Amino acid sequence: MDPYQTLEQLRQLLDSKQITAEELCRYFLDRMAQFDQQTNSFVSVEPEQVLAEARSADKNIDRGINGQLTGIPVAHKDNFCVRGQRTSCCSNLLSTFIAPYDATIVKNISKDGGIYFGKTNMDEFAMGTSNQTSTWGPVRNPWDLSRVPGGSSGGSAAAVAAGFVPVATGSDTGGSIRQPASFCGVTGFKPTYGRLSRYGMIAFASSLDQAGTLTRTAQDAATMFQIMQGHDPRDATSESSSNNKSVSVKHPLTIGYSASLFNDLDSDIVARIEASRKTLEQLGHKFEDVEVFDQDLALSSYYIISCAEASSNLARFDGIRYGSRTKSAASIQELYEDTRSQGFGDEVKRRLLAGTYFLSNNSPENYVQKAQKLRRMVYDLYQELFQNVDVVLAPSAPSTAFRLDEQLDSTDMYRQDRFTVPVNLCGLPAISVPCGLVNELPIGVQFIGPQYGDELILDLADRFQKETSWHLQRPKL
Amino acid sequence: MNSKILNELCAHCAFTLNDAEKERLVADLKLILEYIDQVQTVPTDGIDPLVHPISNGHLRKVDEPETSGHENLNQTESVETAEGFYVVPKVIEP
Repeated sequence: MDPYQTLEQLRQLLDSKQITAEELCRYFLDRMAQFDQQTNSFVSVEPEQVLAEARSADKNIDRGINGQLTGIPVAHKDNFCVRGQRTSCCSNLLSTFIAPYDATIVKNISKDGGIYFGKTNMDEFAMGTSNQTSTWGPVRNPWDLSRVPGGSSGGSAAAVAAGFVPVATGSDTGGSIRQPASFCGVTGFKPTYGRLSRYGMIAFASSLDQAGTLTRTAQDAATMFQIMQGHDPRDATSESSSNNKSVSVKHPLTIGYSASLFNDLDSDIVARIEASRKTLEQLGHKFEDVEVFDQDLALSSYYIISCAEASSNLARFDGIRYGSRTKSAASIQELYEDTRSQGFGDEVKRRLLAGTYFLSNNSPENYVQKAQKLRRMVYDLYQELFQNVDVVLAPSAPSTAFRLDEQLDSTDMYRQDRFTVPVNLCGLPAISVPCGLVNELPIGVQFIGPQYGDELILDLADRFQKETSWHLQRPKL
Repeated sequence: MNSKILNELCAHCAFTLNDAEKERLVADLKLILEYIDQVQTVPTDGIDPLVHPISNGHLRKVDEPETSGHENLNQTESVETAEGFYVVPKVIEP
């Protein structure tokens, strides 16, 4: 059995009865049990429940009741509510929280027959770029166990890269799907804001958060997207299915390319992205030079907005309604303070303090309004840019995976997201696909589309992967 | 950023920090603000703030009372409830 098969290949195996869903799930459970002690990509798995669901899927396959995912295991990032399962956001504060309902995308995957396999590790409340802020310990990159997998969806990226599951969900507030996809050599897709419901996805920064996937291929990402999408009345920002705004898929494309993005990158990384450009040119695509917004200004704007929104969103964790609570508190204020002091980790506290500062009278200028004006400038620039080009090509991350013991200060860590945050500020779709190895570590390239150009960039990524084999590379575990 | 401002922020955030954490966070936040402050150099007069990436605004729905149906389940996640209410330490002092 090859653990790196696509959804289409697994569907064929199951439908032709070459393997049962129970055998398939048992195989992935065994593989995970054998290797996940090294990577720590999962934070909860209940094998008996997985196998019970698989047996039920086998009965459905026998009856000919088949979704595209029937019998196929899917892992969920630990910030998606799965009814009856611990949903901790990898925070000590929610370490005992059992979700009372399913997130809409979890429900959509389940309706299609996908088997809930387990919860993947992540940075606490999705705040991080290295998966080192999890209360359940750091994730290690399957390509090199001394290195980080990226974050915040580091567990999902590592699990797919290690062949523990064929697909996993993730969330992307500022690059949390695309950067770990780049570090782990998998395909990471962040759809247009509003295309996938946020209901049941624990909020970090509501105007930026978007669910998506970590998969082996762009074709698998497209399959998952089709299953997960749809209007959800429980999410006021969910796009109505009647809007019909999708950008038509076409070929060849005019692709925007900005040399300024590559100024401070390692020459080996630039060489891999240049090679990707050549591949795309051979496929008939044309390139046009474009100017993009200053990365550091966009990142600063993102940081202000995300921290401000987080400081509001995380106010709900007060020890009264969810998770753990200090037993000895004598007053309500003490209860709040003790619960939150013991519950939140350092990075979350840092961002909540920063967000509160940006929102408070202490700040010398109105940071949030300034950031929102910059957000408008980034948005307008991309709107204008997409009048002339169909897609923009950019690096997914400024480096390959760094070492766990590497000392990066806060701003260095935040600058990991400088190529990815403009996409979230503007609600655009983007996909990171593997484009090479540098010193035996994977690196990705990012295709950014206009709003509702999800299918367009998925098609481009699929064509790119049909010409390259970087997405087929595997780590040695 | 200094320890006085940090103490005020902690009160707003409803958590406390020990002395070592305070020292570390004042230094961290200074560094972050130094980086962030570059936004103040950009002229933005006359630009409308963008608060959300969906240009047509949030979707509207009929304003009718509804329940999620999860009320009882939600309360199972609280450490202490009684008769459908959340139990907390006494709020009003005698």
